[in-house]
Amino acid sequence: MNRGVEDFEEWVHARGGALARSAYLLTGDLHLAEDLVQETLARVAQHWKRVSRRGNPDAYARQVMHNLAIDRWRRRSVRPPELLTDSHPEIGHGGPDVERRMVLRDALAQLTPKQRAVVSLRFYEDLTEVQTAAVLGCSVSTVKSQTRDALARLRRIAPEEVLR
Amino acid sequence: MSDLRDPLDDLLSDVPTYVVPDARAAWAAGARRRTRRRVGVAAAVTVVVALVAGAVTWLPRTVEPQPADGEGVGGYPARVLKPLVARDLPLAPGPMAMVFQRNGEDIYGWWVASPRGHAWPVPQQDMIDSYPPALSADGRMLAYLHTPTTYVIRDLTTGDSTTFDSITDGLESREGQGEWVLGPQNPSFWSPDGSRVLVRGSSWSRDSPTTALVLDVDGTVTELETDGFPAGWVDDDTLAFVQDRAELDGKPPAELVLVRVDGAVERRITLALPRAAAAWTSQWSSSVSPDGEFLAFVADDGQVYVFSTEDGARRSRSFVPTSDTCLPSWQDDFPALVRTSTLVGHSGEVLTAFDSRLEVVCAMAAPGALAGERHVGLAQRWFGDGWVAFNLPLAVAIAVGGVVVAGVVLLVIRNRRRRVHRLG
Repeated sequence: MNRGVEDFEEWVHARGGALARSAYLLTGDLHLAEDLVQETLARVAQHWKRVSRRGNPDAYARQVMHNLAIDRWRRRSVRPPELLTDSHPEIGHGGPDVERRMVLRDALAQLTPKQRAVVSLRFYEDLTEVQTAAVLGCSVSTVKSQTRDALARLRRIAPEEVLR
Repeated sequence: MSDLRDPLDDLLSDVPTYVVPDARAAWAAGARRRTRRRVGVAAAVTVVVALVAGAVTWLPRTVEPQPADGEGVGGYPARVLKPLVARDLPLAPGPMAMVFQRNGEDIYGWWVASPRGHAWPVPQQDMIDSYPPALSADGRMLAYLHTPTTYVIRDLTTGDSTTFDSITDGLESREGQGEWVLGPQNPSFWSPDGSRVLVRGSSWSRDSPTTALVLDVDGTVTELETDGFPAGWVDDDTLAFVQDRAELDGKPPAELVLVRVDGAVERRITLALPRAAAAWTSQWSSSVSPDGEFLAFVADDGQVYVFSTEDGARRSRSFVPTSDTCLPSWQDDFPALVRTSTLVGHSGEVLTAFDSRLEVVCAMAAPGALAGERHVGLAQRWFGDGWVAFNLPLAVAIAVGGVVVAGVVLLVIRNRRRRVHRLG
């Protein structure tokens, strides 16, 4: 088998879970997250030779995924709306933890795609503001303002979940 | 700020169970995209190459001048560009379309132009005055004073040349270095068959009545003693001179004198020319048409007369302000004249436009060239007579340079922004 394919599959095996979590955080839906992950992986595969040579496919995948998520929102007016399912097995079945997750998930869904991307990069990927700005191709001040607005909205909708 | 990390971890903990990436499918999709992109690039390159090849091969074919007889010049340029670098005239560059004179602040001299508009300086070294070269009717033969003591007739298709060491320029110190003095600032005339050239000249011997010379391509020189200004050839063995009689009895004011090559006067023909016009006759006034049937006379006031060489009757008169130090060329029995860096036909249409940087004051075209096709280059076809057509290499360089500079500027701006983000 081609060495490139093997390396790629090995990398997907190692990083697939993290990518899936980020995708879910960006979309708020399992099906959309699955689509986003596959599209991201296809783009990484398209440029795998160059990306792997640079030695940092994670960074490239992160950049592609977050920009795809924002682009999807930008293209929403020319694409038919996705039909989302009411079933959320990833959240669990009953209990206070499930309720808390639901509130947080719904609160995240109220953010704009760019705000979700900023939240994902800053509070889940643990990137600095400068690194976040570099991934999203915007200025640091934009990252700061998006972060401020996102946190304000989250605190308003789900104060207990965010400020626990 | 870190309050969010734990709730997010909690929310996302089970996601990988339900979102499982398909690496094989992703790789296959990536491979398909790579292939599509390569095919697209290859197709684009193929289309561009095909377009360029089509432009280079198909378009020029429609404007390529065709030699009239397979050997001589078959066309003339619609424009003559100033070369980026003035190169020496090749030994055998092929038939030329015209000779022209540059006369600017920092440049002076005679040049030749090909049917496609390429230009080279005529190799004339250390001249003390202007000695105009002459191009034969078929554009193959070029006659010119090469050095102050060497006159040359060169076959531009073979590179063969005939040298006349007995002809010098007019510097007094040349006396003793040659037998004849070439008349400065005088045009020369080729016989229709391109075997002999008529030049104005005199003998270094002060008591010699020589007024003109006939130089044969075989190297022989024939002296003539005819008064007046040479005007060309009526046929391969008969020369034409125009004599101004205004300062004599003025009756008639001017005559066309037909002379055999051996010097014998064959006929004297009265020209129906106003006395005032005849009084300003110069060496640049008269030119016989290629078929010998007509004589063009350019008067000092811009009037151009055309006479029959058979009986001197005036065929036409027109007003064309033109250079008074340039011989009329001929196109279809009509004189073509130089006007502000252009050679214009009898109805005022531009035959050849010269790059203004050449500072052309005179152009004399081979009759065979003007009888052929007008060669319009691609740049002129696309951009007309505008600045771009005359400066295409410079325009391309400016465009490419502009794109490069813009790219570099954008790159610098992007890198600075990134650096600012990193430091911020």
